[in-house]
Amino acid sequence: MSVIAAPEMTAEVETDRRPGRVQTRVLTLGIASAVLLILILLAIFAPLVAHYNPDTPVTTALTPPTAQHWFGSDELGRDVLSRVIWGGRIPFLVSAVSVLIATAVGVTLGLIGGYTAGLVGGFIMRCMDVLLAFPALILGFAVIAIIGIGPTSMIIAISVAFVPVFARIAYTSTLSIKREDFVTIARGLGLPASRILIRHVLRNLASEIAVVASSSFGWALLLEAALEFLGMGTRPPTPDWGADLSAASDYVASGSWWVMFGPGVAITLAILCSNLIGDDLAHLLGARSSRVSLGRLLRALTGANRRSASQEAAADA
Amino acid sequence: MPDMIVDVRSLVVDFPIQGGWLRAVDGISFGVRAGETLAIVGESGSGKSVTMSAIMSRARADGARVQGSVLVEGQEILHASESILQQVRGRKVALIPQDPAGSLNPVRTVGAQMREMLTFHRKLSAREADLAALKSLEEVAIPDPARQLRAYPFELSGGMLQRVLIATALALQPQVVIADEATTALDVSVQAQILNLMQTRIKEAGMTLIIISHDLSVVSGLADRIAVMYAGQIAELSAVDELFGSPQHPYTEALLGCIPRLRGSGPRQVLVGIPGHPPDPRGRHQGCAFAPRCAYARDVCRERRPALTENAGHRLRACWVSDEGPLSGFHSSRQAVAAEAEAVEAAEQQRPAPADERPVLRAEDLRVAYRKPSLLSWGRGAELTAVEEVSIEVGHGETLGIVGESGCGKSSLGRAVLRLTRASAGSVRFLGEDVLRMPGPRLRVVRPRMQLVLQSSRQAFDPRMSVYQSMLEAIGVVERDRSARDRQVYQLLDVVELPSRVAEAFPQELSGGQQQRVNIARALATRPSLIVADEPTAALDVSVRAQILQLLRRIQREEGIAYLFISHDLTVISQMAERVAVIYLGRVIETGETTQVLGGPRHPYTRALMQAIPASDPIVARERGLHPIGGEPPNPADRPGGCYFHPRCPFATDRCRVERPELRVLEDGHLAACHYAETLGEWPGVEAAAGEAGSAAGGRGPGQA
Amino acid sequence: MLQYSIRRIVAALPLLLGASFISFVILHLIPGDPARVLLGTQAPLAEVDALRRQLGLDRPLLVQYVVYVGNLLHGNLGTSYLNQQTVVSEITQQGLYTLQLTVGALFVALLVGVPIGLIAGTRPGSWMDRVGMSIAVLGVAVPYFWLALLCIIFFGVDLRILPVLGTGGPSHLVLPCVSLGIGYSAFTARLLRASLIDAYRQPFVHFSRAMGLPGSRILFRSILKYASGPVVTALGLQLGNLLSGAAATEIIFGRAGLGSLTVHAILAKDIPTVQGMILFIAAVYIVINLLVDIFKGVIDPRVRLEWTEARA
Repeated sequence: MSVIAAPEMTAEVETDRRPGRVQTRVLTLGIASAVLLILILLAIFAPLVAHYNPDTPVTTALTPPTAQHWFGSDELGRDVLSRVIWGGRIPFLVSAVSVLIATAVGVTLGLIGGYTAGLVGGFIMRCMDVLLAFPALILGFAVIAIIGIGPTSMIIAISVAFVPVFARIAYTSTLSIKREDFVTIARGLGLPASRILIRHVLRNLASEIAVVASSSFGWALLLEAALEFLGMGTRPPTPDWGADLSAASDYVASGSWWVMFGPGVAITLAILCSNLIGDDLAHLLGARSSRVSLGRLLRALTGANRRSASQEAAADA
Repeated sequence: MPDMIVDVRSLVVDFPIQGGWLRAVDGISFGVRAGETLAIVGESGSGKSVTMSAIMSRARADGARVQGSVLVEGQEILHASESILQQVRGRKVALIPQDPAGSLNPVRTVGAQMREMLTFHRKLSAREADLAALKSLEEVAIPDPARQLRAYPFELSGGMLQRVLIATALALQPQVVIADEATTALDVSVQAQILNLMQTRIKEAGMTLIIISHDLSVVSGLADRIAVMYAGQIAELSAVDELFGSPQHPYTEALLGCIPRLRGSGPRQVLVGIPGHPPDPRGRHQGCAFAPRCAYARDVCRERRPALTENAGHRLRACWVSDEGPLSGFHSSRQAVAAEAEAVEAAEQQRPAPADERPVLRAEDLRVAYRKPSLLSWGRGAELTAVEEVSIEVGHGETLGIVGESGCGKSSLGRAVLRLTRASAGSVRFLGEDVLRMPGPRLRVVRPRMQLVLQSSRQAFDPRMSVYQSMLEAIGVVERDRSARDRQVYQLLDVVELPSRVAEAFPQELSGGQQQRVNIARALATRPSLIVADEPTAALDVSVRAQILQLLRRIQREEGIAYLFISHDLTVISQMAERVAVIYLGRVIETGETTQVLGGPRHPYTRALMQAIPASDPIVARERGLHPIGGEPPNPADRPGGCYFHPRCPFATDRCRVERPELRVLEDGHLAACHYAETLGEWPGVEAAAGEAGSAAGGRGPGQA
Repeated sequence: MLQYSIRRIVAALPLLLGASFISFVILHLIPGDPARVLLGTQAPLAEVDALRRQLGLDRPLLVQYVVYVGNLLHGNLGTSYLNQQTVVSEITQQGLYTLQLTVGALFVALLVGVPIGLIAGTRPGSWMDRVGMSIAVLGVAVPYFWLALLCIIFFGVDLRILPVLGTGGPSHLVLPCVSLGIGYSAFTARLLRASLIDAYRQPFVHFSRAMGLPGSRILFRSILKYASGPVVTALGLQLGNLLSGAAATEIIFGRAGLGSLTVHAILAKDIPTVQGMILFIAAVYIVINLLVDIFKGVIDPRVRLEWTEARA
């Protein structure tokens, strides 16, 4: 259930909607997106950008930063900067794929659960509750125990951990959107359920999902790094921020701080930017339409609002 | 003016908005004498609530820019320090807020919150404060006050909470009480109780009372003087009888014409409304703010702003026209013209004999029950009945009014006949076809022919679709031809008297009245035979409400559509419906022609509802007085045995407590469900009814929590 | 209140059952003979056969699950094949260290996070709010294991004021607790701020103001109680992160504990220990959140009502 924290990071409620504050938000959103994009592009075009081969020693082991090697060299004499550039490939790939899978599966489950409510919805959400009962890292352990170490395991593990988060948000939002008057009107017009779900429910859900997905990306990065750090991701010598950090930790006590500096900054920067994007999106989308209510998000996530459709209907009656 | 206990001078309040300031209150001045009751009345956006928050010195906290002066007992409070404000707020001036449920902290008991105010302001010990709170709760006739003190706010109904807040205000022993829309959120019977309390406990106790309201008739019986506000200014400030008798400002005059009156047996009132809509406070207007909507307006009105001055008859109003003499009654004469036109039109357009003899809608023994799901299992929880054995019929081009208080199941009924809520028993026939057991494909064909118009005009639109898209979606259900669809969007907008540029707008950019017009246009898009209108005007301002009601009437006349008109407001129902059904706890307790039911009500509840409506004439209001029935609108989860109404009924006998009366025919077409419908006596005194019924009423008591 | 607590406990049972099923099913999802998986590749064939009979692996899956749950209820989580200890005794031995670390980190989180959140939430938009929240945004983003390494370099290597490695005495706890707790303090601060700002917008606050109650009184007597509900819930949910974050922290600082135990077990394919640990951590997590929920019922009576009304 630990991953649930991801969107809560964005659940900061702000009273101040003065134009100036909105501009600040737009600015930080722009900067964060730009930095994250640069990191991603560096990773994608690593063969072109990195000066050195990340896997072969190019200088003496544990050289402090120099003009040739800005981040110094590691225990095998490899260039840390090049490894940092290369090292974003797996984290970004794993996180992006996991969040995409989790979004697709989670939103579908939540949408179906919320729209049908009743027994099907109840069953789906109960299963999600069980999944949520495991801290994400522990869920990762379980998956890795079953299928072994590797990026695929991490993708499965992170997706499984995030599915309930998306499912729950989609579920609660669908429940509330379903009760909105405009959906009642659409039903009254005789529009088919599939059309109502896609045109009215899903569209109104989209911005909320976007907010959660962007901050989940940051949490996926953290989770990936943690798994790598614990030696459950890729095998050396593949460059990876988390794994490199783990390798560097052995040399920290001897004072070689630069080995862990590069990868650490990279991870922090990537997570920071994703979180900021999530925060800002939440604010900006929230300011523009009433659909994204952060308070509702918070309640949805903390499960404080476990009221079902028919209960609400009864209350209306 | 030394005798003024509250003196407001040249008050200006601006709120920051994107790119400037929004002027909410535009230089108003008035005084309140000690012991008098002043009502500030205006539609939304008139600045009445902002005036209130300026008097409570709260506007500044909301980021507003406040200028002018507000004196309370000679003490300037607008720019006073926190410590001076603490001496005034809560001590000299107490507030009864609009939203009783939100105004108390949900996680603290009622008693703790009352105690806090009392220990702080009156410097009482905790014990003394508890005793004072208890005594105060007794004064406002709260049943079992000791228990209510231990209760949490959510355990009490809205009416009870409002009593608690009145009790809190009283216990603080202030000189001035401000009631900010204090009855707006309440049912009509509870509203009458609260108004009664304000009359007896505040006004008659000699306190100064300032009532803020959007509703002239609510304040008519209570106020000594009324200030009518429009666009941040006071349009007219008069003694109540003078204001109602001979309004000096065209806006007041027009507003009085908008109030629907309870129709017993007479003809329907023509509701003209006030053309146009209130000015956008963001735009600075030159001249009189009302000029664009005013029938009397002349050049000077559009050029120079009139000040609030005394005219020859010593009446305060801000109008150039009435400087020259009394108003000619133009607004009322226009009503007469409209009435005549309507009558002629109605005579010409004889309702075409329906090709189909079957009624448009016929529901029999309809029952709607919701299941309260259990959180602990997937199993099925207890049932909650919303609608019980209801049979109704709506003929071609006819309006059936459904009236009842909140929680009576009227909305569930409306949705059940459209099969938007599952009916658990009974049948619904639309033009003879069984709707409830209709297979899916057939339902999709039939459904467009019965449409729904809801109260919340804005929420009725997908916020991501423009008016055009929403309309197109509805038209697309019945119209296959694309170019025809496009044409129809504009035709329909024209039917509801909207300019075609509205199509490009998003619903949130339109005013409430415009939104509701689009809603109606969309409902017409599928050429329905029946429209279920669920509180279509409840959220609208008085002047706009009148417009919409008149629009609905015109459409019915022209298109021959039948309405199932659902409302909590008996006056609106009486003006709209040919026949009416009164609902209590999901059961129809009286039904018949409107003239029969409201002209000679045979069920005590119908009478009670009629009694609870504030008279729109202040003299009638004072003569008649308020005779509220006691108790609270009942909780559907907690049904009494026998006649559902017996706990609140002043006539209830032992028979009523055990035997449920069936709906039976009293005269042709007039039915009522009361054992004593024929012999119903005079309405007994207020005290007896209020006292007894209060304690026995349903409501959600803390005991059940 | 009692009724509410009972309902909450009953509602948590299916979760525990679900958790046990997941830990049970792990064994059967691993390719290969479950008995062999349990005992490791080196185990003698006779032992494997014996275990297979004991677990009834030839019987239907459901029956096996019932047997598994039966074992659980008797406190039997199996035996680690690495050191032949029972999993239960492993957990009880190592659990204490993890408990110390988690509680310490939580303490740090509250000690740092609550004041910052309180200051920021009561003065949104002020410079203190901006500074506090900027730090908090960073604090949330810094991975705890990197922070741990930074701490080691700074306090352990450069300043040499605190011991870095090992399990030892209280001073050994300081760095692990701080590095693990800081992230959660940032989270706590942000959450408390958001909750306070939300509370300040409630009409009851406006009403209290309009009735002349001073701001500090409103804050301490009224708002804090209202605002604490969501914070407590979210922090409860966060304990899962703290618990699993402890794993990495233990490894960095060379501490004994459940984290190290689990990670080593996974890497060594010691399936009984993995199963036991996963189940144990999930159970602890469920129980903590149960306690949080019950505590929330104490502060917010509406929560109680929601749960007791369901069957009314």
